[in-house]
Amino acid sequence: MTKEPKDSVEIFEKAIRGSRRKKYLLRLYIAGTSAKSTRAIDNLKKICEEHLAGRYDLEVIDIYQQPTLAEGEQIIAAPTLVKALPPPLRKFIGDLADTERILVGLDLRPKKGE
Amino acid sequence: MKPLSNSRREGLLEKAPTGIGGLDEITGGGLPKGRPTLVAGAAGSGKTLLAMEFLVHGARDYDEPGVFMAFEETSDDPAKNVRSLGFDLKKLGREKKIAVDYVYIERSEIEETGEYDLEGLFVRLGSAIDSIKAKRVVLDTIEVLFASLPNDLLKNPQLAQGDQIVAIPTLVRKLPQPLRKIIGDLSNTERVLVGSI
Repeated sequence: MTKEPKDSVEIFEKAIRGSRRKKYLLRLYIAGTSAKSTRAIDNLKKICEEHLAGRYDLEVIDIYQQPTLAEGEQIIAAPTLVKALPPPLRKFIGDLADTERILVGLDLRPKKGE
Repeated sequence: MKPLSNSRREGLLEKAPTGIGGLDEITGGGLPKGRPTLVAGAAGSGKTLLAMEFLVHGARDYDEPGVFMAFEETSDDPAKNVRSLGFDLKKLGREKKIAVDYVYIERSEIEETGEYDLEGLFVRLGSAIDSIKAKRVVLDTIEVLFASLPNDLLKNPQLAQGDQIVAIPTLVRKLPQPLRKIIGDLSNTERVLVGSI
């Protein structure tokens, strides 16, 4: 018999544990080998290894090579990281130097005041 | 009045006809070729109509295909607006005479996390131009683009005051390098930037 959650705190904690297991589908749009693109790849690798190890799929797309993909995903800035899964869809523009902001945006860290 | 001599004609700017009779007449042949033109006017004054006519006439009558890049604040169907002007963009699209790219910028799903540029936009513009060998480009409307970008990448105090006419040289100079590069690369392309006051 599975254990029934006792109260709202337990339900909440269970949900948090669930979200920690969620698989992430990420797409990083870069512009060739520009400095900003290279930094974005380095920063993202670090974030994924530290916070999403073993539960993410990352696709890196060079918009110079595949411009139609940039159109399909409504990309305007480079670099852009798209969190396709889990929902909601989010886009992070920039070289991903602001780790704190990304972790919050990826729902890996509670927002301030929560 | 004496007609202009050949030597004086050569000194004049080359023009791209808009196909709008009265406008081509008073401008001495149309919009300056190979240069950006900023169209400014209040809402409903016909900026988009002017730009569309420029593209459609170019595609149909002057063998100059055109790209229409629309910046939209919402995901309303922009093709509907254009259809109401009496132009069948889909048909011209199938004939590879006009390429349309609708750019939606949904601010609520975008987060800034560091340095970026607008290369994504320019790659899309370049790709649309290449796809039909476009000679004319319309960006409609540019202030939607500027308003939707949060940081100081495109900061332009003159523009912020709504003084777009005075701001034209500043605006063009301040456009990011890739667009200036595209203008440079496609010196035979005329483009219309549509903005409202």
